[in-house]
Amino acid sequence: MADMTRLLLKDLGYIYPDGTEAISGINMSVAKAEFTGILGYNGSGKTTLLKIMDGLLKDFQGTVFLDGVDIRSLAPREIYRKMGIVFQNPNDQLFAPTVFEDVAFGPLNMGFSEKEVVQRVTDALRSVEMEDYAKKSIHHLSFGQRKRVCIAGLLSMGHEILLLDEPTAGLDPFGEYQMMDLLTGLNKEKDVTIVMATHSVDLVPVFLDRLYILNKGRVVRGGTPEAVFTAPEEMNQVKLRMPHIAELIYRLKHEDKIPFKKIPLTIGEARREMVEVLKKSNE
Amino acid sequence: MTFTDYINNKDHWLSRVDGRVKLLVTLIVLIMVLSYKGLTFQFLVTILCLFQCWRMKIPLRVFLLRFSEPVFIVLVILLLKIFFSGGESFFSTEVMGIKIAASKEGLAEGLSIASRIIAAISIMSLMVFSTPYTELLGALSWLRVPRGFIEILMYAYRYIFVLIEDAGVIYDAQKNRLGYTTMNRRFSSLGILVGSLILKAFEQSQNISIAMVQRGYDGHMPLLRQKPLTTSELLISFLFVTMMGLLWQI
Amino acid sequence: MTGNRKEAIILLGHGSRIPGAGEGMEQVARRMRERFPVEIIEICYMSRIGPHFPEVFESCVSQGATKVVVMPYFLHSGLHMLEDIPELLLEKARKYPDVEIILGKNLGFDECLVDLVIKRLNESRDLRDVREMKPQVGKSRESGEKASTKKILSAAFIFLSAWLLPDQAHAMHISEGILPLNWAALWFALAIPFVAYGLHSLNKRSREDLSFKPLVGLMAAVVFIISCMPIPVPIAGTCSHPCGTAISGILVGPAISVVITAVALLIQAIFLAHGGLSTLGADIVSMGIMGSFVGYFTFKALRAARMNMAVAGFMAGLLADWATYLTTSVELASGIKGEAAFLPLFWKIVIAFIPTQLPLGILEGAITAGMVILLYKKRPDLLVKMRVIRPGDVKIPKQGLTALLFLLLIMGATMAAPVQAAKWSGVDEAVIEKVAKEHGRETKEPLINMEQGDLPLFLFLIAGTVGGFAAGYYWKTLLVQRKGRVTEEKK
Repeated sequence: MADMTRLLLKDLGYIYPDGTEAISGINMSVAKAEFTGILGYNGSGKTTLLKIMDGLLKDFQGTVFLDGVDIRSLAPREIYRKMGIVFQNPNDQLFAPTVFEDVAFGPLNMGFSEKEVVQRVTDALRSVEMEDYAKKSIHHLSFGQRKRVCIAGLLSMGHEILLLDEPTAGLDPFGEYQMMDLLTGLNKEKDVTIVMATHSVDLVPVFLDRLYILNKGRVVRGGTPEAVFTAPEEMNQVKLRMPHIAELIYRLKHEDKIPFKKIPLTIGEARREMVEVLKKSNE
Repeated sequence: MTFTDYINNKDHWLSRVDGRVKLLVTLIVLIMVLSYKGLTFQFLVTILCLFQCWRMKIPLRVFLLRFSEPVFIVLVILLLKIFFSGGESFFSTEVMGIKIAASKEGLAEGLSIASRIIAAISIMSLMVFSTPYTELLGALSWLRVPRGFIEILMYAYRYIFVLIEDAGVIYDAQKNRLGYTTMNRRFSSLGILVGSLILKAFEQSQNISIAMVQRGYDGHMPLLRQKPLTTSELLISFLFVTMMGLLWQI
Repeated sequence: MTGNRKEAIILLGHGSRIPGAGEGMEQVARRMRERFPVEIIEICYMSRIGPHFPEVFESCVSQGATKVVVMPYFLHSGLHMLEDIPELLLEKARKYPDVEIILGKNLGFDECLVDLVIKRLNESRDLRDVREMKPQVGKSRESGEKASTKKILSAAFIFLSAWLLPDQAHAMHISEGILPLNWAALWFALAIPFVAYGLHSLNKRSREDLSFKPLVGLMAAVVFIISCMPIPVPIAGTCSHPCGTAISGILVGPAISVVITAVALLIQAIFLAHGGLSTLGADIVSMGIMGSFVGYFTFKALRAARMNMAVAGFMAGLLADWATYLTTSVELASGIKGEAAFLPLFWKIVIAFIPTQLPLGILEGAITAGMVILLYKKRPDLLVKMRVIRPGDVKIPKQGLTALLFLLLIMGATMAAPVQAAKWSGVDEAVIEKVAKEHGRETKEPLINMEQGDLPLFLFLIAGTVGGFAAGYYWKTLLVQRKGRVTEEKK
């Protein structure tokens, strides 16, 4: 089966009401079940981009195609059946007193029967490993747990495309790992297309298929992690950095002339490279 | 300032009764308490409720906090009624040249009001201790309270905790910068605190509505229909209310 | 600048209530006059017992000083050094441009301090354990006596207010059960149409703007939090809570503010037992309806009269609070009077509330003013959006005049109601007296009833005047302080 392009952005631009340009000339495509990342420093326009993709900001320039259809011609309901954003601050998204009520909000609005709603909520909570917390009040949950409830709230609507704004921000290292694990699970096992805005460069190559780098509202690089993370100086120019391990190997290779074959982006890859190099040097 | 969610002891049978039944019965008993002109019924209601609270293992501190204010009011009203009503006196004394007499009728009236207050608080407390907030909201909507009102109640409850945290942060920041040292500064800082909370309310409401819109919100809050009441619940409550009604006649 | 150059030194100490506390510094000044080659050496204090800096400075200048060196008699460099003292000096600097004013260094650290501490340590070797120490009576027996009588009086005052106050720490909520069924039902009957109208208005507005209902919900949360803030009330020494009704009234209009108040009250009744379910109607009437409407119309009227935001906000908060307080007194008096007369009981309750309500009203006014100012400075666009202010609108809308009239009407009604009620109870009394006479029993004069008819009125007048002065004082402070920062909204 050919890869369907779910989201296509053409020459997308947006100007804030006060005149400053947020983003311009964005061209992006997201294929089905792809795990895409949008990298950029704070203020580079990531959130704005996500909001436009979700149909929350209206007066943008250019076009957004959802499954081949211009979203301008789609009714909000049609967009929200397929796609949704998880915002950075869960308090901005969770409004109901209990977990169950909040996750049930989406399906209820979509008009499902009571039984269906209950089923969907239960399934969604199970996917995010929060099924024991159904009756709990939201203010009793930790930050990470609230984020997961946010995701469940979209999953219960049956969304096939998830847009996430900095899902790992504010989480401790274990929480970060848990979150990425959860998202990867959704992506690989349930074919959910995920677009994630982040500035967490260490996580990106481990989990993501493609990424785009935003700088001053424009896409400056796009492609697989290997294609994008080539040199520290280039990354610094866009106010980001390479994954630590990649930078280390890069410096070892270029400055200390250690004969690494390629720049690894994850610890696993780095380990393999180093073992090889060490073995070679022993010969 | 501590404002904690109420504790429900899940093991107690009262917690498992449907919220709607509890609210309805509470309201009926409350009406009885408020229309009773004597002491017996109030006494019975109070004892019954306090007993149940004890059974539910409500912590003493929580209990006392809830009752402290009414008890104080009761004392003041008693004093007011006893010493400032006319009629036959059963006790009199002189303080600083003014003759003060305690009147019998005043005492009777005072006790009537006092017992009414205590009984009313008791039955209300019992309901609150045994029913989670969301169930209460469901019960209110079942009693045909307008949905808009329920929706506001829901948002308010949810965001009280968020805003309290924010208020705490602002207050600490102000305190650290000597914002509360003089009276003038205190007023000014409080005004700023309140203003900041309102600004946060604005921002939060904008964000929340965007998030809700993208989940299909169109202005009407959908509420889950509640399970029908079981006949046993209805029967028992009916019997209970009838019994209370009979006692009321005393 | 040739001519007579005279230097003056002023030792500036902290100051204390107890006379003689600054003895040490005064001795230093005396010794310096003997040893140091400067003609004018004076002492003064920052606060409490004088002499104070301004008059001492003037005295130095009138003695011909052309240069004044102010030595802060402080060991440490704290807030006084960094802020208060420079401010004090600059004030005088502005007034006397020809006089050189120098702020000297504070005492800080010096080797001789070490010797001093060691010396004192040796002197302290013979002192007894702190547990055996008798409490120090002040250096001056007079001040000691003054202090204790003051203490007794304030203790008496606090005890009395605590004794008299029906509702000590929790302001205006009427507790569950106070009102009998008929009254509770009456107030509900009065409240419900207002709440219904408010909800209708809310639904209408939220159809245009989906974020409005969450906003109202969040504002209810803010009002709830405001009414939980324990504010130590300055005069009475007790704690009380503001209402927040003027604030919500100004921001969303009185109709919706009724809904906000109702929600906040219900949550308070459920979780904190402030107010009750049966008394919800009464509380909505006093706080939601009276508070919001009076607050709103006061604000609008004063704005129409071109008063600045701070004053309008302050008066709105103040009057809303007092309107609530009077209404609650009516509700309480009618509810618990039983067979007794309404009016005397009403006055008793009103007076009992005065110690907390007078300052609380001022507090509420100040908070409301502060909130309005903050919003005006930070997000005036929001105020425009909520139709609180109009951008650059100068002309007095007709609405302002009607608002003023409405306000006067409400206040008049509030004043008239107790009089009317008195007329009704007058009927009761007349009938009862007649019946009693027929049965051969004279009605006994209710104790303290008639006498106190005049007394409470008089007391109330005094309290009102005092309150008026207090309001005037804060008004001035607000005006003077705020004038520099708040400009009229001419963009």
